[in-house]
Amino acid sequence: MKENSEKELNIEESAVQEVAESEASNLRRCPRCKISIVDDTVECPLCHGVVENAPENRNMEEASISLTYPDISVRTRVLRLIIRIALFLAIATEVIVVLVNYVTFNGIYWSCIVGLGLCYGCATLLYSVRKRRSMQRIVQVQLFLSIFFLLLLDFVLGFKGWSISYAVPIALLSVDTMMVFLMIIRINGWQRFIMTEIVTFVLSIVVLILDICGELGGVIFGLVALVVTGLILLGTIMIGNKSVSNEIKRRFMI
Amino acid sequence: MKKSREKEKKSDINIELEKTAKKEKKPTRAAKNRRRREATLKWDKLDNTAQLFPVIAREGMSNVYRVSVVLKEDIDGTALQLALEKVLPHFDIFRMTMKNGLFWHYFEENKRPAPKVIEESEYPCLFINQYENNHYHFRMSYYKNRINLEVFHAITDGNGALNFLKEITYQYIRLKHPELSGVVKDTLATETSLDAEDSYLSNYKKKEKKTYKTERAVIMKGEKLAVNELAITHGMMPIAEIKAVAKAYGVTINQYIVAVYTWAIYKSYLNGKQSSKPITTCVPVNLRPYFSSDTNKNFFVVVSAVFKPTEEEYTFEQVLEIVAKSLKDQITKENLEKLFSYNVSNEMNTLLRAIPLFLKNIAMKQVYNASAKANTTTVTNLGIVKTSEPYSKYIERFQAILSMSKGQNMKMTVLSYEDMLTMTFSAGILLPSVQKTFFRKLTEDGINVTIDTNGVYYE
Repeated sequence: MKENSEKELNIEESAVQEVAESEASNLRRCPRCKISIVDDTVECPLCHGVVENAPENRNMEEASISLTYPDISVRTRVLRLIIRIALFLAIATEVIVVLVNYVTFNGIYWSCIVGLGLCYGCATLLYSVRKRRSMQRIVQVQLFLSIFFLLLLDFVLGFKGWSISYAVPIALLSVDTMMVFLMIIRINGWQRFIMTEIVTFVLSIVVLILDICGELGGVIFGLVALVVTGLILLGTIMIGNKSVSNEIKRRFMI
Repeated sequence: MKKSREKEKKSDINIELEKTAKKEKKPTRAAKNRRRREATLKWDKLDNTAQLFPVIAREGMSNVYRVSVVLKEDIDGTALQLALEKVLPHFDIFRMTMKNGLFWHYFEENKRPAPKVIEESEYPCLFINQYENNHYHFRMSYYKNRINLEVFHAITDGNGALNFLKEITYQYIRLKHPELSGVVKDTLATETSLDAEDSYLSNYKKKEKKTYKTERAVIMKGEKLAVNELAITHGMMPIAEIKAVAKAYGVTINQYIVAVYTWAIYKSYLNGKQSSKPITTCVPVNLRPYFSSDTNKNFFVVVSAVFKPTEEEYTFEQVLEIVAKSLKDQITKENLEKLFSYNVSNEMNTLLRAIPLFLKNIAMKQVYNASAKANTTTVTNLGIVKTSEPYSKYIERFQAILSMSKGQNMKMTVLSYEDMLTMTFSAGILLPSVQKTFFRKLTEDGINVTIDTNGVYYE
């Protein structure tokens, strides 16, 4: 049994040696650089001079290629072309829209809104679609963005305080709901969402303080958000016990 | 006959894969209990060098490097996937995902299935997005007879990656060659280390002052390749020949290679002219042999070979003397200890530790951007790779590729296996004049060079 396997090994070894020898004799040679070249080429990749020892039957029009790496230039070129076409279409659309806005101007620069939409679309194409982010990061970013836009809108409309009294607490409650949902569907790593819960809890305290100090009314919404967020955080810590305390230890390691 | 044997092998591998899949689908009661016990995920701190990489890594500057093994037979992707799945559970540092803490990045155990082994279809060393890679920070691919392991530098350095790659290769060979079952056991090789200690911390003795300079260096510019595109040139040569040449010059192989590279930059990029800026070549030094460490984590420091062409004309011998002296003076145990002790002392500073991560990130980026201008290129020598006897006859060679970093548009790796030495240039610029001068100098010195590219220079 052992003899047989040894014989097989010897046969394979000699076959491998034969292949190596035949490959060595097929190598191109650059007379200027005095190097041998493995690639299937008529030119030296370093000095672009014509090489020796290229097979006689090689088609002159055949492109020089690497024999040890895949040819991905065509695929990359197509991808770049698609991106360039998309960018061109976006620019062309915006130019036409600006022109129409100018000709039919009625006091509103609506072409700017279209432009922003196109910019967002292009950015999504170039960046967001190609990169996946963690669900927790997406929720956190969406939370901060929504708070920012709600506050901005409130200020633009003369600041009546509705953003802090109603809109932001509702946004915080939405995040709470989302967190509970994510913890259920990702039960194996549910304790990982603790950071978002802590952020939401801190924000709900800030919102309630602003609401009370600014006498903006609608304290009840802020209070509900704080109680719900606090209960979810407390429940996570108590039920999660060691796994949650370890997650907190890792996250707050100094 | 051969075809039927191949079929048998394939069906064996498929049966193993099915078994693994079944195990994953229907967990037993014991497995469920074990999973419950293991709900507490293992976690680990990043080593001193690793702290920087997540801060500066992005598309186009991935901080990902590749180590490859070229076998004497074509690779079977299914068997390679199985080999990876069998070996991965033993290597803790590769089974980690990276998370952001309030003050530091940290590693957390990753219990997701191993990343998918794919046939190579992209340029080497692309950015590893953990969310597209089962949250792992390494990827594995194959092409013809080559297995590629691409690793984010925060996990480990080249030596740690080679350790992992060798084990996967052994496992793969055992799967593809059942006749070896009587010769070797189906387990990890005894020479493999699974140690994951932070050797920077365990060898840190006292606080040191900053020892390295940040004088602006020559930056190689030229028509750039597209983002993520890399031009690869491997140069293979007999070790005996390069050893004889280095000996004749009275220097080590490493000093000779760095000097030829510096010479090539001086002659082809600076056209042999004077320069107020030096050609500074970063040379990472593996600290394991100096501090008796077997860690799989990062454990290296970077020294610089500096050549400032202030005179009108230099001969190669003069450049060699300057470069060799520059390296020799720095590669001593005392100096290497000083170099990493300065970095570790910063990490140990309680005040600095308590700064929130986002502020640390800003500061680290600033320091990195400033120091990046002080380097022209990098040459990393991973040394001699040794493999265990039953496997050696299936392995042709090992090679490594570095990705580009800020200010460095060309880098080189050196790796030896058996009687051949492989140098690999990776470049983000189109003109191969430095490589041309480099290889011409080697052949002029009597070394037989065979090169092999990824075809970018033909486009």
